[in-house]
Amino acid sequence: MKKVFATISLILAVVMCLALFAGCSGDTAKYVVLEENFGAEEYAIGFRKTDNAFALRVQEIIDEMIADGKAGEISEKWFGEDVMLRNVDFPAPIEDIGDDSLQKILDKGYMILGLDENFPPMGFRDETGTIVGFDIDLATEVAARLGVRLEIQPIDWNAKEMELNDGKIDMIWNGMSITPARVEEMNMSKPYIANRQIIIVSEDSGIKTKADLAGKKVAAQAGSSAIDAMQADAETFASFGDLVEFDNNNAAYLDLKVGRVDAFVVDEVVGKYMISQDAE
Amino acid sequence: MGYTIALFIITLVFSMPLGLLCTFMSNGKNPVLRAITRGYVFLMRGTPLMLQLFFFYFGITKLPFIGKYLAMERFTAACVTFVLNYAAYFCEIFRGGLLSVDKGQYEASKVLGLTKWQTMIRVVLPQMFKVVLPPVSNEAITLVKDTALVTAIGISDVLHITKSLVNGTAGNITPFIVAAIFYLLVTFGLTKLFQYLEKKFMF
Repeated sequence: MKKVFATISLILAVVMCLALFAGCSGDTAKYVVLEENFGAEEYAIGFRKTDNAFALRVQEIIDEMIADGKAGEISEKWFGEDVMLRNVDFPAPIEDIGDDSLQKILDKGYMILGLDENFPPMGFRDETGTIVGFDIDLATEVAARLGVRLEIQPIDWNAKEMELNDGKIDMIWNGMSITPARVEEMNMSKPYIANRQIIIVSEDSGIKTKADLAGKKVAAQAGSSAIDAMQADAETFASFGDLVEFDNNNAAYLDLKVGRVDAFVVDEVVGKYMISQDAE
Repeated sequence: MGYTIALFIITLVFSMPLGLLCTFMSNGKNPVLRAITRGYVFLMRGTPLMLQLFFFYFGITKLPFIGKYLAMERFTAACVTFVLNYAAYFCEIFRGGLLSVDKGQYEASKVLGLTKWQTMIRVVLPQMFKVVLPPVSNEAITLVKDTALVTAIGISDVLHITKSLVNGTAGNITPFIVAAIFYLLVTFGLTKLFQYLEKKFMF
């Protein structure tokens, strides 16, 4: 009996220590977005390279939703304004070759949306653990208009191309930036939201421009377009002290707050949401 | 949470008998079977579990001809990988247990007129189980935490959901504490179970 008590009190002690830790983490430093950034880009939905009919049909529905105001309504809900892009074209043309990809989806009665649900406000878990977000709302409406069920499948972002090509998921819809490599590898929809790769630093870090990043530790999510964008700016990229890759954006942001990295490069949509959540 | 516990139980239930079978094969007289088990154990213990997960989920579908018939659901692939991986470790643990049984025990059984099977089941195995219990308990506890690796093939286990909950709430780390308590409770239960078993095998 004594042993049981000892064990229980040990567990309690550990929990209390953890709680204490949690209490200490409330920091007062402010985090700011630099004026300079690593360039603009646009978000699109990714489909399998062979799934032309399905990609075209989904695009048709989205165009419809933009025209009848439904997409704007969803945008208002998450961003407070209508940020949907209009009159844009496919990054690479998708030809109507009459393949059976659309029919397959209709036959099986559901479409599987793959996402990394660590991407607020596009796709993330709320307090109850339900996956919600801007992209989820859009996709739910598309599925409803297509007459199929929407299945949400959390995946490892680094394995997204394998998941898609192996047919484990039908689409990647997760605030995915258009990059030349991705256009090569997938059928990408028309861009639906504009985005920039912003640099977040601590206000008292003294970092004001990209040039100040020389010799500093910069964090980003592994496999993200933030890394592509930084690499495209070869001169700045070479000047970094170190590039630290995390498996999700939140880990990178937490590390910035702890001070182990000096800057954090992330999609504007996500970064601004994180900072605003912090302020609350 | 369901996935974590289901994977844990399935792995333990299937990998132990498979491990025992491997032990007999690697201790047996047939040189071909011996070589196969040695190779299997070497492969499974020599490569990262994460890599094996990727192989059984993604890689296997790329095999020529049979690949498309071997495509598995996420959870099935995870179970297969974990069972095969842990069986290799159990194989070696059981082998160590068998080696620890004194030669005199076999000779004594022979003198007493027991058959080979009787010797194995009534004399050798009980002694082996007694020896292997502590390392098996060790493996079981490691397994509880290894289950978190399945997030690599898109299964939302306890740790994965915890991380994304923290993410969605912008750094409120309460879910981490809840997850820690969950793992501690499971490990606590296991420790107690093995303590009970060890007592039972005191002879």
